[in-house]
Amino acid sequence: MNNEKLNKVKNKAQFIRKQILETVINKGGHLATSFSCADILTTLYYSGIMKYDNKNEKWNKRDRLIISKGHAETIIYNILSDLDFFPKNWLLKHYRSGKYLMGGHIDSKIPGIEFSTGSLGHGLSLASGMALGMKKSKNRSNVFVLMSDGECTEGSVWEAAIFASKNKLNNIIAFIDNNQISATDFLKNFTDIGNLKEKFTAFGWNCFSINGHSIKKIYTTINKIKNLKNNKPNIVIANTIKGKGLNSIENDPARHTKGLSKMEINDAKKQFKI
Amino acid sequence: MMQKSNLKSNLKIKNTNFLRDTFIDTLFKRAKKDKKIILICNDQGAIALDNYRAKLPNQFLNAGISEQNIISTAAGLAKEGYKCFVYSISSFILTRAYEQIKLDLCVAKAPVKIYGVGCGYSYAIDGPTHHSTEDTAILNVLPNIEIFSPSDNASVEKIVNYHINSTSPSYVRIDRESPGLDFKKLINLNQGFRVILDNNKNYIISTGNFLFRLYGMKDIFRKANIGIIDLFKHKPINKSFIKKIAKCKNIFSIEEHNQNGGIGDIISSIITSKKLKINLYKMSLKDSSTFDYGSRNYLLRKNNLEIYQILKFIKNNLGK
Repeated sequence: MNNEKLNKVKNKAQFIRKQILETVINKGGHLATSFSCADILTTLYYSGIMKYDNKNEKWNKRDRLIISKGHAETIIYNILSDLDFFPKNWLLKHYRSGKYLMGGHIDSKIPGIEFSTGSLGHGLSLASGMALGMKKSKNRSNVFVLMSDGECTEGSVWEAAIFASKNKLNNIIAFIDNNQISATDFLKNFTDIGNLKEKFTAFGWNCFSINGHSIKKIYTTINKIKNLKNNKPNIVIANTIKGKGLNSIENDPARHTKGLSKMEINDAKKQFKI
Repeated sequence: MMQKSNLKSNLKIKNTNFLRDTFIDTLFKRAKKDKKIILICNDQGAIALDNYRAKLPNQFLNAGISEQNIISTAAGLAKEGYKCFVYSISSFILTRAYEQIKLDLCVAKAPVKIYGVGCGYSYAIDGPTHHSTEDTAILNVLPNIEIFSPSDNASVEKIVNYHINSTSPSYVRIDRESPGLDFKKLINLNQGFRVILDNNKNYIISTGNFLFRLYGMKDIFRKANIGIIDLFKHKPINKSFIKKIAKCKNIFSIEEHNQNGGIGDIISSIITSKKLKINLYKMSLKDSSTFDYGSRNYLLRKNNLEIYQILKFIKNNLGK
């Protein structure tokens, strides 16, 4: 990725964070988790590395993306809105209001969404099914997955890890948004998922541990995966900071649900020049 | 009515073909010509399965003992246009992977078909871990899924053939024991029920393996002025079934299912919502003995569902 493109994606990531912030101030939403994975999703959608067609969401050659952390609806709806998967006024009209067409978790009725998610531990298995089907159909596109690190305490994740490895689903490129914070606390304070890279390696996956806020690193890692010649499924442990980009909420375990105070809103508006 | 000793001998019915083998054989015939069909199991065995596995290895997947993963994977495959048939012991796939069925099949409307073997007390001596006595209840509360409960081989064959191109998620409760016979009358899938023995006001309404137990006694029931209906589709219920029972005076629902949420409750809710004047007598498994071990007949006897107990119960209530 040349510098011009890199800067373009970086600017987009900042723009998307600003959009998310405005949405949350107006309507509420999952702010901290959206900022955590903002650089991963922006790279996928705006760097050209993931294929999609906003006018034909069922385009057979699209890369599939399953957002297994279904509480990342604020960011995905903002990105899909920006990319015109649906009319721009939907977010204002329908997000967490009106007919509630767009609620607090990801819904497959929204154009651009493959599966409804919200309960954790489903995405990797759904992706495995799609990846297997695509291999059988000789479709050479990839299946991207975005998971959370807290999600990895679900047993079904490891059922999927065994299955994808055994069935040589090297068309899966999964990201773990490894911000080390779950819904109420730092993960290490109540559970120990240990070293995810070692665990997935032991399950037969290609594993990469990267800075999840480095757009360049995210892009080059995906490219590296695409050029691998082995049959293993791929996982990228993206080390991130929950709330990355807004000083008042960064790395604060209370911010999964806690909203912004009036003062914090004013500060955030200044920071993002809203 | 007959004596207890005579009735017992009537229960010895010769095995012909297991329902699960009919399912796999029928699917095999279709899969040979349709490469989109995939059979997924969780390390299950069956003689018919060995043939399928050997001849269609690319359309068979033993995904191991991982029910949650199996359901979601099947949903993913369905999204890519594949026709997935999941074969498992009923209790394992339904209760272990219930959320996956709810979200990845029912919310997603993924046309995955679950064939669960061992409904009711089929795995009698294997105990409550293997019994499936709540399957209709827990699936009936999920929108978009169909529930079938076939009682003979011809019905299974018809359901499998329908499933090849149907667009809904679906569950088929398969008894582990063979009914050993085919009723002369084929099922009409849309209707969802068939009359085994006609009557103008009194009916036993039953499902699955109980039909062959009752069928052996049909002459006795005819003399007792009571008919038999096979309710082989539990969800959705067709209007024609409501029309059929609307004229009844007495209905005896008989099922190897928990007292809550089975066909007895399905009929009860029809009677209530349509304000029908019908005496409904529910015969099912007591909550208190649901988690017991024992032979199938022992367990049925404990729930007053041995055939002589059923006959006595019907006689007492019809005579009122």
